[in-house]
Amino acid sequence: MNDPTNSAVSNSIIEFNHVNWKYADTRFPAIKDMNFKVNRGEFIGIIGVNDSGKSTLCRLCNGLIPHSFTGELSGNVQIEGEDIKNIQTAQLAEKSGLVFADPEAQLSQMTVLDELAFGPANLGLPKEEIIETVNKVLCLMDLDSMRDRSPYSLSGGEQQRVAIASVLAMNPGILVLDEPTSNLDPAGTKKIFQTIKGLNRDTGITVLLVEHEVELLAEYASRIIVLDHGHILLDGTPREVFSNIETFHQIGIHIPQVTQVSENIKNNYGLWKEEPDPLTLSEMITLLNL
Amino acid sequence: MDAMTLYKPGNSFFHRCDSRIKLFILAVISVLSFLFYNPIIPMVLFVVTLSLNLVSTGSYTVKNFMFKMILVMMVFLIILHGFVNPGGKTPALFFGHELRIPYFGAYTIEGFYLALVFWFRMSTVILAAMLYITTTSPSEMMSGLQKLGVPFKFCFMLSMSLQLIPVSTREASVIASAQRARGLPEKTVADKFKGLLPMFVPLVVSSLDRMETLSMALESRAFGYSSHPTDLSEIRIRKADRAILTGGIVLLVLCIIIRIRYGQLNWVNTVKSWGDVWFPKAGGAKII
Repeated sequence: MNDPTNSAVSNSIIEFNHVNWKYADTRFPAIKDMNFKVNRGEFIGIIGVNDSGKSTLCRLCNGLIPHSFTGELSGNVQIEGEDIKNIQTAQLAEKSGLVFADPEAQLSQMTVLDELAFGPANLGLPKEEIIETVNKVLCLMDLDSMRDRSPYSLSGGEQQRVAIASVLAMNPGILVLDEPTSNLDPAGTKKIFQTIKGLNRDTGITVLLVEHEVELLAEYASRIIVLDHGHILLDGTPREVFSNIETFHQIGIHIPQVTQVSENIKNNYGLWKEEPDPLTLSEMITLLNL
Repeated sequence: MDAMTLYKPGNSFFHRCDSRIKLFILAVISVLSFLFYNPIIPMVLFVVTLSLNLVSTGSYTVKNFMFKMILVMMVFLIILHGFVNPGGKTPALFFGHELRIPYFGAYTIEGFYLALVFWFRMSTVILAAMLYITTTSPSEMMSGLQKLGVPFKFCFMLSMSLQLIPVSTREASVIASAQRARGLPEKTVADKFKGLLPMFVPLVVSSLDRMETLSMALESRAFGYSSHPTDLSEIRIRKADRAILTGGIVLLVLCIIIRIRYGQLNWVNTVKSWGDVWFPKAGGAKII
């Protein structure tokens, strides 16, 4: 396991210190004594059952909590070294962008181009700068061909790419995605994962991705955090996290199917005892070829 | 889903006009058509606006539902006013015969005159509004309004509601299909009304849900950070726009002077036959 306290202070972009949060209309806190640090450039997958605090975590990373929700917050959340209590959501938008599950509900403009320009225009940036950024993001997200179309006329996967692009146009250091693929088909999901990974690799943007697709997380994420009832249950590289098969069974989350298969083979046939569990299909194939 | 508004993309003279100028044209035409009380001037304006529509968007406006409504309204108004308008005195002659129905009396020539005035006025305003809507893209419309001093948040609300209409319609049809699949009775009209309630609740709930996501998404994109966000639109007043503006003002002032000097140019009291409707009676005509 990664000990979060070990990571270099200067490198951490998000920092949770003993954070507790309870919504005004619920009985139990959504986040309980949460401590962790995120380093610049990490690709973090967050998994957990419903009501485990995943969406709350996303809102905390964006300042929507505590500024737009009522409830009790204790402890402190620091984004790029600044306490979220002291900065407004609009200012935090330049540091951390949030993408939601429903692609259509987060779009608001008449054309893809306007959609991308919406955020930077709200900040009051000069026109030339906005146009330059928007053109860059359009190319980066492979949306150049649909710049003048209405976002509502696009497919779900394309809409989600527009939503991600519209957040990227604000040039944030952190990209937080709250189940961005839950309304998409498998091809759209895969494309979104590849896009996010590409961004993470090429621009060094820090990614926090809440997902149910453990197979894809195992393949793309550099670190996995498992939440349960507002706690961090497991935190580490995909290999470290997915080796705790028992814990996953207890909280009722799937582990990658190949990992499950190889675990069963190990237990029932005594094969590959000293091999690490494969996480992805390609690792499994390599293992089978041995 | 691309055709969410009545906007018809194109590159006609009116498409290139500043959206504020188009709004000004709409205002001028509306004022002019209500300035005088005779069928001729509104009719001329009607023909002018109709041709402007035809020039800028082809047959688009004419094929539109609104235009058909105008025609239906025409038939309705002309029949109704002829019989019931209290100003009606002189019975009209249809090939030498009066047309009477019980309780309402005869079809009067004054009623016909007033119906024409009313209809030309209404349809001119509708067509002028169509000219504005069909040739102005929604984002131009918004930035035009913004430049006229309408607050950004109000413009945003307006454009947002324009976009949410088709989204909600689609959602409603999904909910209706789901209810139908579970055997919602739809045989009688009463059934259909009852069916609205189970549709209404999920529709409201899902809209509220969508609004919550949207407000969070907007907030995380700095919505409301500045009350004057950068305006990216290219709208600029050109020479032609200035000419239209000047021409419009001159025309408006001229007509208002005529209105004050000569009155409404109303000759309803002198109409005695079909022909009198179109021209004030020569000689003894008294123009009020």
